[in-house]
Amino acid sequence: MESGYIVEMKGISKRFGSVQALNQVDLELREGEILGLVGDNAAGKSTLMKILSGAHSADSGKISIAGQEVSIRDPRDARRCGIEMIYQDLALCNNLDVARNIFLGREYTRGVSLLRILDKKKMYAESAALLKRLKINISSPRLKVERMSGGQRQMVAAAKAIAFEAKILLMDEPTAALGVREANTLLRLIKDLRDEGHSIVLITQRVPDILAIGDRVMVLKGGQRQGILDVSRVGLDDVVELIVRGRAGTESEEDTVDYLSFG
Amino acid sequence: MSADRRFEPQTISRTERWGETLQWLIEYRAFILLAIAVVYAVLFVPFFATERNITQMTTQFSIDGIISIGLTILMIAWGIDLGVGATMALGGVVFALAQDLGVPIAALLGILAGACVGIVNGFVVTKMRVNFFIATLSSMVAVQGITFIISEEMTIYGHAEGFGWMGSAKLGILEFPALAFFGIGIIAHLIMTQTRIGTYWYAIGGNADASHRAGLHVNLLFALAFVVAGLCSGVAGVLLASRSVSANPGVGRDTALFAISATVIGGTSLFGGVGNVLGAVAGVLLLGVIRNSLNLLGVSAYWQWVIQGIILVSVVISDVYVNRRRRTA
Ligand SMILES: Nc1ncnc2c1ncn2[C@@H]1O[C@H](COP(=O)(O)OP(=O)(O)OP(=O)(O)O)[C@@H](O)[C@H]1O
Ligand SMILES: [Mg+2]
Repeated sequence: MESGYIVEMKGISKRFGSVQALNQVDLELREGEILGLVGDNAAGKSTLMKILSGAHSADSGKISIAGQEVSIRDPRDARRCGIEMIYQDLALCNNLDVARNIFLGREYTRGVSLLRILDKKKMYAESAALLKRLKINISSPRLKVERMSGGQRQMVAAAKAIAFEAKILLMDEPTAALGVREANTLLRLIKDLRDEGHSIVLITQRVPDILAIGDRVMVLKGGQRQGILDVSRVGLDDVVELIVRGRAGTESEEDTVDYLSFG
Repeated sequence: MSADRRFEPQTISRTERWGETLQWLIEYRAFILLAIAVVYAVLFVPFFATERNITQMTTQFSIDGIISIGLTILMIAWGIDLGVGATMALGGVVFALAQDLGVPIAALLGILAGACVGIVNGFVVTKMRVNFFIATLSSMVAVQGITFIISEEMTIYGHAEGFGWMGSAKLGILEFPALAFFGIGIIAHLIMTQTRIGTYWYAIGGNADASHRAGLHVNLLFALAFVVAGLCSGVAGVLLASRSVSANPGVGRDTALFAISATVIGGTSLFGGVGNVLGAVAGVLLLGVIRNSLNLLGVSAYWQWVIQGIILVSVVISDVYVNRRRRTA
């Protein structure tokens, strides 16, 4: 691990039709840190993380995990690299129960390879324990997700990503649908996970959350990286300034025009 | 995206309890209606409850019923196959053409012919990205053509020893097709509720994108569901040919209508992700009892079409109602 980074993304670009969602973006995640990823709507935050989780593939750029260059073509590749993501749209199957959602794609099974039998007892037991550990207000892992509130669904999505102890956790606005108390519980949990050695990227619109629990914060704007700041050395105003104005002083002429046109 | 929704308290209002009851009634509609239909038929339809009628009736609906089971799995994965009747005809014709190889091998070939149609459908839908209505409608026409070509437009009679065995062997009051139907129903039910692939079919029908992000091989699973439908159609074709000791290339024209009706009555949604095999079995029994009763009562075939159409429409309406509830819940 020469670079000292657990994740290194270099020169990532991604275009959707006429929209250049990401333009030559670099990201470095240190081992055991919480990196906040902030920016306006449509800045490209989700797209960048979806590329890391295999949900999208980049048009160009390189990804290294622990110093090793890897190619992540689909979510299975990402899981193999120890990457797990909580998606902004949650990515739950509403027609399945909580336990089946949590274990989707890595069920406990027994028996022959073609028709593997689910070990439901084990899955329900572990799901129930997980709900309890995460202080999730859901009475049973046998409930279907479709009847749940936005906050409950959000917590199921979180449980699904956290359950498997992935070493790299990507969280796309995991507290968006939560009430204050639930959000605080989850933030504390994220901090605990960091202290246990997980490396975490946390996308959020709530900059104060990052300042409270994060180590560094990266700002994206219009698909371009504006900078990475050390949380211990900046205040709310600095981050907000960067989100709104971009990297003042260091940008090229072209960029300035861009910012003006953004208003 | 920062809506500050709180956990909603889990108290149940009166309207919600009503909705709950309604939901329950709709979910188990096939069993409830089946019970009503059977009681009515036993009391008021002459000859319904005779041994001969029950044997005949169960064999009759079982052959289409096996197809309903395959379709149920496919529809849970959010697909549909409109060509199941044509595939059934092909399976029967292949079975009859191959009978000189011995009945077991011939039967296997008939079933495999059905599976091959499923493989082609699955390939066209997932690799060529053709809409499954169009894909299966086109393959239906092609399969019909193939069936008429290889049979030279003629009914092929069974002459091999044991050709008719599967259609007529009997255990108690049930003939082999009925036993096969219930057997396949139980196996399919266990697959859908107890195995991993069953859960995966529900998952891709519920949210294909989320399934992909969870690492599932969505296309392969979807294609496999078409193979299951083709396989069941092949089995039905072989049983039908065995029962009539002949294979007619033109059979199966109403099969898709019957099978889809039974499946949807049984609680399987046209919108994917929702359904169950036992419900489909009940739906098959229900439609079978209704069809049989109408025959015994001497209702004309045209009126039977009208009635079947009304049943299908009301079932589809209730499905749309339930799904709208679910998706806005
Ligand atoms: N699947 C897609 N197809 C087409 N365009 C897309 C797709 N995903 C994202 N985009 C576009 O790419 C740009 C960046 O979107 P992205 O979702 O990454 O932003 P974001 O920073 O996560 O915003 P938000 O804070 O609203 O979640 C937007 O202009 C968006 O419209
Ligand atoms: Mg986003």
